[in-house]
Amino acid sequence: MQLGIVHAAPSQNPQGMTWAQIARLPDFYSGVWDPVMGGTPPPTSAAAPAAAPLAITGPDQSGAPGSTTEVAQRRCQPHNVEDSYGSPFPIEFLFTPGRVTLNIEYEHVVRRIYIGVKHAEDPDPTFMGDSVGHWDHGRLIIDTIAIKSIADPQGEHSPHVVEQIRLRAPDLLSVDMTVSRGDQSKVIHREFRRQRTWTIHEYYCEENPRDTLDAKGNPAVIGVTK
Amino acid sequence: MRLLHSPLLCHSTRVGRRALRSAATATILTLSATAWAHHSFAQFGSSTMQIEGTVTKFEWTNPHAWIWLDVPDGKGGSVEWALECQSPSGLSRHGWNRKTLQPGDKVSAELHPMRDGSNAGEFVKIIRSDGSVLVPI
Repeated sequence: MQLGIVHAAPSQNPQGMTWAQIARLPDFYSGVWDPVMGGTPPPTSAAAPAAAPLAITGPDQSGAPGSTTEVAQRRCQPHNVEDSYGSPFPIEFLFTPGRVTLNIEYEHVVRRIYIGVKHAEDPDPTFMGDSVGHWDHGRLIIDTIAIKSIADPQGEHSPHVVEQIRLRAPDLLSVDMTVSRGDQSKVIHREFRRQRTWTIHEYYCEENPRDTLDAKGNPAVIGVTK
Repeated sequence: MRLLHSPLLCHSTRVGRRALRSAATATILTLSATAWAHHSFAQFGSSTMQIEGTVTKFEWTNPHAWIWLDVPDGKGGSVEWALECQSPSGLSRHGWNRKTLQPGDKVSAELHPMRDGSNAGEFVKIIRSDGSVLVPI
């Protein structure tokens, strides 16, 4: 019996499986990517996922005060793969043979995307899920399953997440993330500007989380007096 | 419109009121539709207040930096105030570091106070005794 998570063998199209192949891939890996804030334009490419109804049942992940995600953030609880691009903090891509690693500064998250392989068989749900990817005409396509969240700790309502990531310009990265649960789906579009001199900084929410909730569930700050 | 969900950054420079207003306007335009960050800042009101005091502690920590001030209460004593700032990662990209504020620094601070009356608020601006200004940008 094989122990541990094992992805299926590389397919017949193992793009990025060698350093020489990596050198021919789009350059996502130089510098870090700073999210474009203040609103982003809708998908402009015909190849982008079609917009679908936004209504998705499940936890309120709007980030609004009191929502599932906002309370989780206030308590320094982990977010999941759906929130990979939602924060205003930068991200970073690392390319190695057979793998893309996405470092997200916010909450010091690491995502591992295995290239040219199939999903592990019946993987245990995790916050970042089981991600496999491939390259298609300069786009990195990531398929993620087995996703859990604070509100769904067993991953019983795991969404299926598909990302398309591409360079719209040499220093402008475009991400379209389609999140599907059953017959419902939504598309999240974000853009990032390359910052060649930046680095990803350490961010541990648990270091000094003074923002909290009082016994009545109202926002409060630890250590201050009235 | 608030500077709520950004890692934004406090900027250390000598600037006048007009420049400050321009910076604030630019910030609002840039961040009007930002996504979430660490948490909502709904606990802070929209009103602005000013306090003057002495820095007792500058917490260069995640998820937010905190500035602690000893503020005279007008009765011969003092009260402690805490100002919530953005994350060190964002601050550092705009020139801040752990030594930007030191215990003993005399400052005038502007903040959006907590709605519940606690002695805390969202950092808006600090003017140091040498006239330099720290603002979110």
